[in-house]
Amino acid sequence: MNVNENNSIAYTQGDGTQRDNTQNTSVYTSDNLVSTQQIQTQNSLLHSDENIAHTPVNLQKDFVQSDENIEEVLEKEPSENVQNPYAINTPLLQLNDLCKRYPGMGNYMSVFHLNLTILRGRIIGLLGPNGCGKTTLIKMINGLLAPTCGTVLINGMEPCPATKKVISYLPERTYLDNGMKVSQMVEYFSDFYEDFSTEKAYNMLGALGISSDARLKTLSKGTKEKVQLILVMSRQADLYILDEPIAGVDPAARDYILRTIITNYNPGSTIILSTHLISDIENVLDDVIFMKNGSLMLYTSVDSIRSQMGKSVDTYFREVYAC
Amino acid sequence: MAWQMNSDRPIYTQLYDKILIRIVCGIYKAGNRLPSVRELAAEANVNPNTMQRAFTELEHSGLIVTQRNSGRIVTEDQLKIEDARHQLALAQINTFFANMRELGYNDQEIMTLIESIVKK
Amino acid sequence: MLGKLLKYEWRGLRLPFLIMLVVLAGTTILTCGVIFTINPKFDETIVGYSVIALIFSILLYYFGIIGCSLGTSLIVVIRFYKTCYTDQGYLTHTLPVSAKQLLNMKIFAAIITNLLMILAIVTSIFVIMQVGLHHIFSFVPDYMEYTYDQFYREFIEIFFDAFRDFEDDFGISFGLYFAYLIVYSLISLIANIIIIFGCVSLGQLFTKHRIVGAIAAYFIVQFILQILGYFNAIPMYKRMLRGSYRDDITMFGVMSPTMNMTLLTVVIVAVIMYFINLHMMTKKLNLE
Repeated sequence: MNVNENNSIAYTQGDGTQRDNTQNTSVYTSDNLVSTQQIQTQNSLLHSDENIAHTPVNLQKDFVQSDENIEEVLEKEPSENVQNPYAINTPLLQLNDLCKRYPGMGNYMSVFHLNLTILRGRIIGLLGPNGCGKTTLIKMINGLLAPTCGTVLINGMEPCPATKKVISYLPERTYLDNGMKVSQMVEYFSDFYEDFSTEKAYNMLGALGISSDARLKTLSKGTKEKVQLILVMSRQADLYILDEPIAGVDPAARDYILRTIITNYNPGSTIILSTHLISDIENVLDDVIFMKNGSLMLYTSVDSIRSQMGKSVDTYFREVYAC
Repeated sequence: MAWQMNSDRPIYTQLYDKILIRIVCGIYKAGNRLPSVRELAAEANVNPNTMQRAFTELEHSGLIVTQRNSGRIVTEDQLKIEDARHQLALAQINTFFANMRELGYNDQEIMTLIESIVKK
Repeated sequence: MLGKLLKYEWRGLRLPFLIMLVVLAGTTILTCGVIFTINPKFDETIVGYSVIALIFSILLYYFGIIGCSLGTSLIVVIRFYKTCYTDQGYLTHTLPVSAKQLLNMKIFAAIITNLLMILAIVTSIFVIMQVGLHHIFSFVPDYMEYTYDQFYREFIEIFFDAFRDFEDDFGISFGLYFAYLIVYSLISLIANIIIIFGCVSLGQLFTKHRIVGAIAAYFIVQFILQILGYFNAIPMYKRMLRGSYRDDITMFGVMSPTMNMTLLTVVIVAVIMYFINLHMMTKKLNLE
């Protein structure tokens, strides 16, 4: 690794090609955006996963802990980087030719030959109209649905108790036991998940004004959703999957939730947010995934869309999916 | 309160501008420590990676300096800050002139208008 | 992890279970109360009413016992369905445990709960018996110099005499037969729990009518078990016919091969159901 004249830092990738960190921002090039128009049928696939596969590993190092010197961090070898002691070479999430056909739906595949590689340290938006296969995909990652073909790999493993240990999932529905109290639910999570922080949970509950003695069935729907989100975010997981985390919640709480997501961010974890409220979360996202009819339409960064299309993701989405 | 962002430009360039203004105005004084990436990202309600990009760009411009063990500080080089202030001022003036010309004023009329306002 | 699963299974079951214990206790106390109203020293008509009340309360008690044992099975099945296949399933199936651990702990908790209910029922029968005996004894006049212990011993003697004769007719000592029945009941209890869970899981195959499907599966399985039971019984009838010509065949000798076959059938069905459960919770899991 050496420092170029323009103060950018060059390094060699695993496959031998040279890159420097100024190129990191152009991983997602305009090539990504060109082919979106082509994809309307089941049979068309995403372009440029080639780009994704070659995403330089050091992209993860773009984020530096606040107190640490950038140069020091970048000078270390990947394995020495203490912020990322995990399997650097294993992507966090890898989908290989993933397909799912539900029994009653004939030949239609809810997820159609999906190929995707997701690394750590990103906040990713999973976007698409209803019925495009987002929920099916999410269920397969969580081990709640078995694929028809293809594989889902989390840290290189298929869904199993070891992967469930490192995934923190917030489904769209209320999945809590209504008969329990909030404090009992906290205890439940603390019992089953080693990475759960009871202190964090109570802090957040206090900040949102939720009494820990309340029985869940007495809480309003919005409050129950807040409780669920708090429980999920109080874990220190590798992968957070949040399905519509802010839809049923008032705007003030939305801000709080987004701030929680930001402050909980760490370079070892990735957050996947599936939502329809794109404009609310756009500023928080690193990358976006567009899905349609079970296929991947686009996987690019928010900045690419803005700089190349001159539009916000929300506006661009409306164009792409116009009815 | 989240920072106001435009929806059509990359966020990191807008963050760059906003922090630049804060430096030029003296909110972040020369030689003083900047808030951490995480803090500022939370305040602005943006992705920490994006905030990091903005910081990196500011560093390339020489407006902030990263020090060992003490994080990032605003440059003590007053000339750089002055220069940035000057650039911002020029940009404002150019925009102003462009807008006025669109309204149909020519440069002479614009100068006369400015003088009359300043004299009051 | 297994201990924690068990802890929360119990937490989910204990409230309905306690309610049923209260119901059981209630009918027990009622029956005991009615027993106390019987007093031969009273007027005949009042005694008549007391006896009628006793008959009714014993009937009520009988239904109470049946209700409580069925109820225990019901609360266990409802909990299984709720935690595995409703919205709560999203939480249950994303816990860092394998489906096998989950299933095993649910079965285990179900067994314990049912055993506790059986214990409670046995205790309550014992209580009623004691109360009854004491009450009868209280009418023995003091001058007869008859202690309760003597009375109790004579009462027990009646049973023991019956037990002693039992072996001659039945072919096996009462003690052994009793032990056999206990083991038999235990195994069929466990098997039935697994089969009921299996029916709930099978109901999941009908995506639009999951609960109806589970109930239908249950009736179908019961029907199959009945048919198999008839087939198993055929050799027994043959033995019975043979036995009427000979003297060396015992009642137990006639019954037990069939009973063993029936038990084996139920166990085999239970094993099949266990694997169906696992399959439905992993490969075929499809939450709404």
